[in-house]
This record gives sequence, C-alpha cells and structure tokens, in this order.
Amino acid sequence: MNFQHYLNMRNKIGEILIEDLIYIILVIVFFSILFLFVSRQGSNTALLEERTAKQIALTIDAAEVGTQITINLEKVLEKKQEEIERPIKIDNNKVNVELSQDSKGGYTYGYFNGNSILYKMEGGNLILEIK
Amino acid sequence: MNKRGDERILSLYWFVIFVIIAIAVVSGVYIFFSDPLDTRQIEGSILADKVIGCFVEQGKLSEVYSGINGGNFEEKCKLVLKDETKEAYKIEDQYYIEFKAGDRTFKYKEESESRFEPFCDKEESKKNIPICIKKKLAVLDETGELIFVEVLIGVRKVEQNAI
Repeated sequence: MNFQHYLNMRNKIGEILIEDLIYIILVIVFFSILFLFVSRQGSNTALLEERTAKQIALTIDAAEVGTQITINLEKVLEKKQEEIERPIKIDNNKVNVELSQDSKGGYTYGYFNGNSILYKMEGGNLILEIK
Repeated sequence: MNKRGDERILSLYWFVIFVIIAIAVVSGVYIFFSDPLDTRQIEGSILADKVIGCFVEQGKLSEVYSGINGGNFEEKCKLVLKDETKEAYKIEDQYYIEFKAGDRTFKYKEESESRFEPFCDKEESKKNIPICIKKKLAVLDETGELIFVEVLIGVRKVEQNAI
C-alpha cells in the first residue's frame, strides 16, 4: 500500500516536472523566434540597401564642386553576399546599392547634382569626387 | 478544488497573452520597417539651397538669374531633375521649383504647378502627396535695392518615399 502510494506520487511529480519543462521550453522558443524576427527585420539587406542608396544620393546632392567625400561603408559591406562584385554603382544620376542577389538588382535612388561624379571603393570606404 | 486544472487554464491564458504580445510586436515591427525612409524633406531643402546658390551670389541676384528660363535652368544651375531610376517615374515631374524675387517669379515646370502647389500650405497630410519646402531670404537686386526672395520646392517621389 505504501509502496503503491510512493509510486503514484513519483509519477505525479515527474508529470508535473515534464509539463513545466515543456512549458518553459516553449516560452523560450517563442521569445527566441520573436527576438530573431525583430533583429532580422532591423538589419535586413533590403532596408540597408535603401538606406545606403539614399544616404549616398543625398550626400552627392549636397556636395559642392571640387570636394572629395569619403563614406565609411564597412558595416554595410559586411552584409554583402560574396557573389556581388560591385555593390555600389553610381552612374547617370542614379545610385544603385546591391548587397544580396535576393533583392533583384538592389535599390536605386536618383540624385539631382548635375556635376560629374567620380567614385571608387578603397577597402570599406566609398570615395566620391565631385568634378 | 482542482488545483491541476486551474494551473492548466492559467498556462493557457499565459500562452494566449504571449501570442497577443507576439502579434503586436510582429505587426509593429513589420509596419515600422516596411515603411520607406522619407528623405524628401532633406532633398527639398538641399535643392532649395542649390537654387539659392545658383541665383544669389554674395547677397545679390546673380547674372544667371537674369538670363534664366525653363529651358536652360538645369544646364545653368548644373542640376538634373529627371528621375530615371524607373520607367514609371519618368512620366511625372518629380520636382517643382518656384523662385520669387521681388516682382519677378521664375517657375520650373510651370505646367506641374497645379499638382504641387495645393499641397504646399497643407500640414494635415504628408502621405502619398508631394512635400513642399519654403525658404525666405533678403537679397539685393540688380539695382542694389533690397528685395525679398521666396523659394518654393515641391518634391514628389511618392513611390520611393511614402508608399
């Protein structure tokens, strides 16, 4: 009788522990997915492409003739896929930023500065010359 | 009292609360990040400065301004105001410029005035409509008389910045 009671109690305690454990694991998984989603959204390449293209376009717009501007893009280029050879293209009054092949050609934004723009990449820096 | 049953119901409530929180966070984040960055205010302000820089030289109306017209404006002020990033953007004018100096008013893309001007004094809605920048300054005209200049810039670019 006592032994049976002991077995029942043991089973019950085990059941409670497993249920609680599953619940805790579910909560952890749930919040991890939520955290991953939020962090991925904040640093997704499409957003980064748009932000970088607009920043470069506005920099060119505001620049005066004869100036040289260096923009540090190290952190942006960390997100670049290896297959992309030219992540930044500036041509014909358009700035194109492509970091991932998924974005189908990247993001393009226009600028209105009519002076000729020379650019080159040196390491993680974009060097712009307004002629 | 069924304590185990109570605990199970409580767990279920907790889970429902978590799901509600998740939906709120996910939709909030999604709405925030799916909205494009609206840079038109800065763009319009830079364009206004460029136009002022082109028409005003050392506090006086420049010679460029006296010979300006709709046809040579872009060339004289070294501006390219056609947005050719997508075929769809070529159809509509993306910029409207108005430069009032004393009695004379220069308008770039005068035919677009009706589409830009009505939004210039309206604060209530900035979404899906062009934005408008106004700058005022005082300069000396060709005769050395003090006149007031008002620059009005309209930037459309709705697709890239507001939708």
